Amino acid sequence: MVAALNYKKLILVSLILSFLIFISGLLIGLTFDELRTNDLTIFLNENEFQTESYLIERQFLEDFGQDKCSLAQTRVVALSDQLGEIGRTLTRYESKRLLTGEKYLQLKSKYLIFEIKLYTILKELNDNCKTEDKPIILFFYDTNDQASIQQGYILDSLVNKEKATVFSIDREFNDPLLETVKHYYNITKSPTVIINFNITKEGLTSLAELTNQIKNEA
Amino acid sequence: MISFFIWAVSFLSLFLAIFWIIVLYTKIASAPGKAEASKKITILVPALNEEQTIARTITSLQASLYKNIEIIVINDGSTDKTAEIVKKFRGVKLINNVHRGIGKSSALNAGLKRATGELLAVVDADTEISKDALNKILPSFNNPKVGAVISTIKIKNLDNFYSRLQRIEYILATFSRVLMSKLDTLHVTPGALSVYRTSLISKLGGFDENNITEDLEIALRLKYYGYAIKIEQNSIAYTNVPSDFKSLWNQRVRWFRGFIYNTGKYRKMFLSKEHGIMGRFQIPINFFTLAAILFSVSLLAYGAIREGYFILLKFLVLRWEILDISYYHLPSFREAVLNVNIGLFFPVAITFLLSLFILHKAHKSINERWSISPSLFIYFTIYPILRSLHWLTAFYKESLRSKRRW
Repeated sequence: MVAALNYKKLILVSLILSFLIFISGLLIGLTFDELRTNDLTIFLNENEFQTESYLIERQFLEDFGQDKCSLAQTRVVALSDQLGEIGRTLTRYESKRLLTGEKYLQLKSKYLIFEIKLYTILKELNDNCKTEDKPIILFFYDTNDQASIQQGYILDSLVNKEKATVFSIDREFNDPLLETVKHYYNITKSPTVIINFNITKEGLTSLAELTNQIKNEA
Repeated sequence: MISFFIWAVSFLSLFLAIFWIIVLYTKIASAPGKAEASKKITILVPALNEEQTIARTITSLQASLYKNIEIIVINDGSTDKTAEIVKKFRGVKLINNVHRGIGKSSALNAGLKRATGELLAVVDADTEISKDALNKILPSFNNPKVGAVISTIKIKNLDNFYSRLQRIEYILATFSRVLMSKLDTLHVTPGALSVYRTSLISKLGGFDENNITEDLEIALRLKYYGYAIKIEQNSIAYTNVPSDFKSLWNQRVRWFRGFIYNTGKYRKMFLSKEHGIMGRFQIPINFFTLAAILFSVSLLAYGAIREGYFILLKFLVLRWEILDISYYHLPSFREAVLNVNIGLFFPVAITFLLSLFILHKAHKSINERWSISPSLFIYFTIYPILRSLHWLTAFYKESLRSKRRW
C-alpha cells in the first residue's frame, strides 16, 4: 500500500481555515461599509449644516436691510462644490456596488433632497440677484442608459469649460420630491437637461448645442 | 449570479492554496529506501526528425551512472539524418518503425515489444538526463504499487521570451506534481523522462495509439487500475520547449485536447469511491481549476471590454479632451481604500500571498533562483489569457471532433 495522507482531515482543516479567512474578510468588509456610510453621512450633515447656516445668514441680512446677494456668490459656490463631491462619491460607490440596501437608498434620498434644495436656492438667487453668468443644469439620467452616459461626459466637459453647475438626478429613483420636480418639468425620458431653470432639452444634446443655448441665454 | 460565482471561485481558490500548503508541510511515513541495482532499464527514445538533438540525448543516456540499461531509439519515419546519427553510437538499438506517421504511441509500442528491461524509461529525443537521474528514480519502485516514477523537468533552451515564460510554468508544474505525489494523486507521466514497470505497461495493453497525449493517457490508466505514480525531484531531465508563439500554441492545444479527451475516457473515475482521493478530490479539482481559470479570464475580459467601451464612448464625445487631467480625480489614501470591496479583496489578497509563497517554495524545492522579472509579471497577467485561449481552442476542436494530430 502506498503511504498516503489522511486527505479528509486535510480537507477539513483547509475548509475551516478558509472559512475563518473568509469570515474575517466579511467582517472587515462590514466595517468598511460602515465607514463609507459614516463618511457620506458626515458630508451630508455638514452640507445640511452649511446650507442652514447660509439660509439663516441670508434671512438675517434681508431682515436687517443689508445686501444678501453679495453673500450668495461665495457661499453657494462652496455648497455646490461640496454637494458635487458627495454626488461623485455616491456614484462611485454605486457603480462598484459598494453601497447597497436600505442605507444606500436613505443616503441617496437625502442627497437628492439636498440637490433640489440647492437648486431652489440658486433659482431664487437667479431671480432676485444679479449673479455671475455660470450655467446651471438639471440633468435627468437613467442608469445603464448609453445616451445618459454620453450626456454625462458632455456635461463633464461643460463643467470644465463653462464652469457650469450640474445637478444630476436619477430619473428612476423612487422619491415623492423627485416626482414633483419631474412633473413640473414634464420629464418623460432620459437624458433630459434643463438649462438655466427653463429650457428643456430632451434626448442626447451635444456640447455645441448646449454651449450655443447658454450663449443665447446670456 | 455573477457575484455568487466570484465568491465561489475566490473561496475555492483560497481553499486550494491553503490545502496544498498544508500538504507541503505534512509529513508522510514511508521512504523509498535504497535501489535494487539489479533492475534493468530499457530506455525508449522515439524520434522523428531529431538530427539536431538526438546525439546529445544518447550521449547523456550513455553517461548515466546507472549502467544496467538498454537504449532503444525508435526512428518514427524520420526524413532527416536521425537514423544515420543513431547508427554511429555503439550499444544503441535502432528500430525503424514501420507504422510511420501514426504518432509517438506507435513508436513506443514498437520499442515496448523489443524491451528486455524490467523497467521501461521513456525519454524524448530532445531531452538530456542528469547522470544520476535513473539512480534517483529507482528506489521508488521498491513499493510494488508504484507503476511509474517521473522526474523534474528543466528547460534547456532558456534563450528566448517564450521559454523563460514556460520555465515558471514548469517549476510550478513540478512543485504541484510533488504535492500530488505526496497525496497519491499524481496523474501524468511526461515524455521527457518517465519510468514504468515494463510488465505492467504490457499487461495494460501498451500505449494508446489513438491518443495525442499518450503520457497523460497511460498515467490515467495506471491510476484507473489503482497504481501509484511518484515523482523524484532530484532526478532531472533537461528538455527543449517551444520557442515561438505558433509551436507553443500547437503544443498546448494538443495537450489540452488530450486532457479533454482522456478525462472523458476515464470519466468513470469522477467522484468514484473506488478510486479514492483521485476520484473524489483530484479529478473534481482539475475540473474546478479549469472552470475557475476560464471564468476568471472571461470576467476580466468582460471587464476590460466594458471599460474599453466606456473609454471609446467618452472619446467619441470628448475627443482628445479625454487626455485632460482635470477630468480625473486622484483619490486620497482613505478614498482609495474605501473604494475597494474589502470583503472580497481580503481573501483574494490572502490567496495571492499564499500563491507567492507557493511560487517561492516551488523555486526553492528544485534549487531554482527566482526574481521579480518581466516574464513573471506576464506569467501572472497575460499568460492566463493565452492559456484560456488554448483551452477554448481545444474545446472547440474537440467539440467539432476535428482530426487529432500529433
